[in-house]
Formats: sequence, C-alpha cells, structure tokens
Amino acid sequence: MLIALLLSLAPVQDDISKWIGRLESESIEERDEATRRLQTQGVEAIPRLEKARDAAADAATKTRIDAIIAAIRKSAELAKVFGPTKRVTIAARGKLIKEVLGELRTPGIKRIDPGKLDVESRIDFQVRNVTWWEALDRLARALKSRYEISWESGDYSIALKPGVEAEGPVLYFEQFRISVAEAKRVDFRTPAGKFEHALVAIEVRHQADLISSRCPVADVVRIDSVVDAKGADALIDPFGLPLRSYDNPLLLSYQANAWVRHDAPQPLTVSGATDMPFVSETKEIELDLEGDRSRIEVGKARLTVETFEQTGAGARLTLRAEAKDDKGEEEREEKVPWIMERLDDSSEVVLVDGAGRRHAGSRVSSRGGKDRCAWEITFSTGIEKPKRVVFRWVSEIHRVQIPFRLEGVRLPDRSK
Amino acid sequence: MMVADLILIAAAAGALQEAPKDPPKVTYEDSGDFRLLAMDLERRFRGRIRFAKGIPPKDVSISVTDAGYFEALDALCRAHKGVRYHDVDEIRPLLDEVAIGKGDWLEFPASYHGHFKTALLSMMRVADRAPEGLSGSVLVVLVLHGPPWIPISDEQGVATEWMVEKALDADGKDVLGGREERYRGERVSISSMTSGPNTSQAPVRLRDFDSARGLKVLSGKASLRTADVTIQRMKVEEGQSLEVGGATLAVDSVTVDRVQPDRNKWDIEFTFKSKTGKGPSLKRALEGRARHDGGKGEWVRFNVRYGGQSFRVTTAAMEKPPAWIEFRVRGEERLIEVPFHIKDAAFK
Repeated sequence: MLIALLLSLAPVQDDISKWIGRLESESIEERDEATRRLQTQGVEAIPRLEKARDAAADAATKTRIDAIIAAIRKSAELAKVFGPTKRVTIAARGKLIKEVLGELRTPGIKRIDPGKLDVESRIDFQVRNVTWWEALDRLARALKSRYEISWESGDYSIALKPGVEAEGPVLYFEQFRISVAEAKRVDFRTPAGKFEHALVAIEVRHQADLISSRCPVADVVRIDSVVDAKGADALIDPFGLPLRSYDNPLLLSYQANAWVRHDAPQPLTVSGATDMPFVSETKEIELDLEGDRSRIEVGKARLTVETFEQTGAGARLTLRAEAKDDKGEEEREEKVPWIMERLDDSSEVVLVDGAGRRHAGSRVSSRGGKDRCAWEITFSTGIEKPKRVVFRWVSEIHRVQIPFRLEGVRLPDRSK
Repeated sequence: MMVADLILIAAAAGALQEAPKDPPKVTYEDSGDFRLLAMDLERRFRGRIRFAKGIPPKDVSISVTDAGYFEALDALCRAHKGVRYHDVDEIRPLLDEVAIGKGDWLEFPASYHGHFKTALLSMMRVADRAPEGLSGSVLVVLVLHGPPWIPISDEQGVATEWMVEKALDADGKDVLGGREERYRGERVSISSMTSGPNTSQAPVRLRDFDSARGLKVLSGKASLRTADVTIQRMKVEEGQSLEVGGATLAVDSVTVDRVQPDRNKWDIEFTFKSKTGKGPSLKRALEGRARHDGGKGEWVRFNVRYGGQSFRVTTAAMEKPPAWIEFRVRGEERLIEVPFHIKDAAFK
C-alpha cells in the first residue's frame, strides 16, 4: 500500500534510465517503485529494457527486467483485446464525499451506494493515474469502509459498508486486482481426533466492463505454491482432509483457495497464475425463420433455426449451433470451444415481425456442450408475421493469463 | 391424457403400506456374540441391520432400561468397542436400515428421545480475517438419527427444521446467536458434513468459544414432517401417467443412453403437475428413489430439486427399457418433534 501511495503521489518522471538504475538499489521500496514505474512504459521501452537486461551484472536484476518486459507485453495484449484500462486521477481537497464518489463512475457500475456515510461531509483524497480498483480500495479505506458488489437490472452496484477490510497484499494489474481475499485458521475436533489447518483464498477481480465467459477452464485461478518464511513448501494436499472448502466469490471475480500448514512460519508467499475466459468479440446475427437465410456460418460455427412454431400459448423457436468443421471432434473443439457458451447472455434474443417490431424472447432451455448446442426460446402470443430472429453471438473468447506472486501473506492470530 | 395405470400392490409378502407403529422401548440384559445380540435387537425393534464383512465374532454384554432403538444399539456397539454405524466406509446402507461396520466405537455427545438420537458430530473453530480485526466463530454439526422404520432424510422427502434454543460454553456463557454478528463477506466456507442414511444434519454457527473446553449445554429440538409411504407402479411408456395425491406424474420420454454396444441404460424423464396448483410439491410427494422391471429389486436414487417439476430416472444396463417402474409415494405428513439436550460436550 505504501508503494502504491508513493507511486501515485510522485511527480511524473518517466526517465527510463533512472528507473532502470534503481532496479539495483539496496532499498526494496526503491526497487519496487522502479519496477512499477517501468511497467507503465509502453512497448517502445522494451528495446532499452532488453539492452539493460543484457548489460546487468547480477541475475536478480536480469530476472526483474525480464518480468517487467513480460508485464509490458501483457499490458499491450490486454489493451489490444479489451481497450485501455480505466485509470483514475482525483485531487480532492475539502471536497464533498458525494462528488468524490461521483468521480469513480465507470462503465458497468451503475452506482456507488454510500450506505450510512454522510455524503455532504468533506474529505481530502488524492490518487493519480491508478487503476479503478486501486482508487476504489483507497477511497473505501479513507472513508473507513469496505464495499460489497451487487447485480441489479443488468448493472453492477457498489455498496459501502462500515468497517475497513483487513489489510493484505494486493496487486493491481491493468483491468485486474489480485489479492488474498481470505486467510483462516481452522481447529476441527471430533471424537476421532483434532485437526489444525489454515487456508488462503486468492481472488482476482476484473473491471466491470469486461464480460466473463462461462466457458469452463480447468484452473481459472491456479495456486502453484505457498512458501513459508523459511522457504519451505507450506501447501497441504486436501485429499484425505476431513474438511471441504467452498468458494463464495464476490461478483466480478474469480477465486481459488489452498490449504496450508497452520504452523508454517510467516509471512507466506503465494504464487500462481490466472486463466480467465472473457468475451472479446460479439456479432449481431440475423436469421430468417425459414429458407436459405435461416442458417449462417460464423467463424467455425454453423447456426440454424431448427424449428419455429406458433400456438395459442405463444411462439417457440429452437436455435441450433454446431461446429461446421467435420474433421473430427477433437479438432472441432479446438476451433470452436464450448459452443454452448456462445449465445451472448448479456443481450436478448429478439423476434422481428412483418412490421419490423421487435419482440424479446425468454430462453427456456439449452442442451449441448462442447461442439453443438440447441436453445429453446419462447415468445409471447400474437406476434404477426414473424420474419426473423436476431441475437448476439460470442465470436471470440480471450483467456487472460497473468502470473502472480503475493508476498507478506499472514494468517490470522490463533483465537484466544 | 392417458388414464393412469396404477397398480397398488397388495403383495403376498404383506401389505406395502409402510406405516409401522413404533415398537415399545426395551428393558433387558443379555450377553453373547455381538452379531447375535444385534440380530435380537433387530427382531425386537423390527429395524433392519446390515453388517459389513469382516466383523469378527466377539462376546459382549448388554444391559438397558427403557431404551429406544438407538440407545440400545449404542449400548451394544459401545460394549463391542470395535464397530460403529456412523461414517462407515465399507458398506453403503440403504435408507431404511442401519449398517454396522468395522471401526473404533466413537462416543459422540448425544441425547436420546424415543427411538431417535441427536448427536454432536464435530466442532470447528475458525479464526478469519474480517473488517477491523479478527473474527472468530465455532461451527458445530448436529445429526439426528432416525430409526429404520421412520424416514427422516431429505432424500425421502422429509423436511426437518432445527431450533437450537440454548448453547452455553464451558464457563456457562451464552454463545448462541453469533450468526447475525458475523462478517458476511466470507469468501470461503468450510464444511465437515458427513453423510449417513436416514439422518438429518444441521450446521449451527455459534459465537467464538474455547472449543477445546467444549460446551456445557446444547439444547433445542428437531421438527420433522415425515409421512407413510405406499409403493405405486406405472408403465414405462411415453404418455403414461400416475395419479399422485392431487397431482399427475407423467412419463415424458424414454430414451436410450448407450454406454456400450450391447449394454444400454435408459433415461426415463418424468414431469409432475399439480391439478389445482395446490397440493404437495414433487419433492414432498415422492421419495427420491424408484425401482423398475429388470432392476433386481434395487431402489435407484434420483434427484429432485427444490421447486423442480421434472426429474430423470436412469436405469441399470438392460437391453430393453423396463416395462414398469415403482415409486415410493408419500402420504399425509405428520409432525414429529425430537427435543435434544446435550451436556458437557467436549472433544479433547
């Protein structure tokens, strides 16, 4: 947090040579600050960083520069796919709280509910060029609050609650916030014996304008290692434990947890990586209800209006999608992964009638899986001369892979 | 709609109306081989007991006074020391029987009422991160064991409500009511629930206390809405239906789930529709198991979601779909209240 504060308040000094020089500083804070400064440089800085790496005398500096180069490349990749990261600069002195909250408006977040805060009171609050999540975290802390996220009518809302969130290591990287969301100690007793364990949960939040895909990925957040203060492995194999853990992630987040030794010397270091699927492109598709234009090929998928019928109870449409490649199932899966998740959840399936009026439908069922799927959609009664169906199709899914390393993780003290 | 094809089976083996009256409690002393004494107990209560393989013969003595089913069974298992019926791995018991397997007898703090037993399975003390410091709580898990002749599990359509009325720690401090005060942003919940046939479990979160010293008192009651069961049969053909209380159970489809060229399983889809919009839900109208023609008499479990109106039964591997299927239809519900009072509960 201190590093983040220094970073945001420091004057603009994008002198790459200076920051490269500070990567070899004796001070951890200076090295971290230099690292973060360099990570904010664009890909144009990479040739100079590569030269600096090649010229560096010690292996640690070379490794650090390699990590910076990787982070710059990752930032560029994310910007290309999802657009620029939302960044916030607020310089408030004696400003009304409601006005400061207003400066955190961002696409996908409908409102920030101040809860019991007196929004007419004034605060001093400064951040400069930080990510939206960092700005929210720091404002909540300044207001001695934490926040909860809810979903209503197609938008997210943030509600501030009294009580500051427990401190823990947090990484802010472009549209993402990676943190230790929970650390627990567990003392479990039965007639069969006593078990003591601990658990850490890693949470990765994403900007509200990124649409997560339900496309199943084996490890959306993967914890590779938990190392104690003496460098020993602190992970426990959960197989055989008498306890089971269940994640209850916040909205806008992915989560993973790991069991660790309760007696591991602290602090702990947790390392891992993400593999989060997000919708990166959707296309509006129009299909006639019958005839040649009742089917279309989109990328490697073939979409068809399979059936359409109208009865006194309303209209019912079956939309089918399947991988068009016939070179074998394995190849189809690779080219059109998880076709079942491709009908865009965030928009409606609409029936257009002869007069051009649009009628939104309700999805009643879906059957299928990796390479084929059929959806049943029902519509109201009385639609005259229905002509075509319109919907959005997820044509691209981007998997965001970010390695992370969280140092300084502490378990709660044992209960007294 | 097809006329319901209902066959109420008045089998030669006896009426299938499964509403046995509670057997009386017992007072007796006896000694002899464990298995023989257990079979005697089975006879006294008409409560089926199944034994896992490998339980060695052992002579034990039993002495009980005015004991219900579980109080007597516990006395017997306690005397043996090397058997138990909760969390038995080597045998999968049916819902209407108790399975006894090998394993050290574990003395759970318990309370007996009639033929029921309420036990404290575990205490889990958790210290976690929370706003403005640490928070702690203790999750205790209670289990109600029902005698084999009274269905009490969720699978059997029984709704159980638990009410914990008093919880005092070893120093006599009230530790009930911690749930409302807890931080609600918990991201990982931890469970220690184990499963057992014909049981109902309840996790109860209490305020933080020294779980090593345990609880002085934990009391309350479990209220269960159980029902007598009749077995009803219907043909397995699309469109067939069965009247179940004020509702209709219909076969929607019968499709093959081909697992091997010569071994088919069959998926039979059902829909349950109330005639009046009132009446019991599907979850309450049927026990969650069925048996079918060609299935060797075994009851196959199926899942019914709360509020769900349809479900699927998958048969054993068989060449043709079964000709008939039988369901366990729950009759009118009756309320059973089982108070419990557990004292000096500690796991050292």
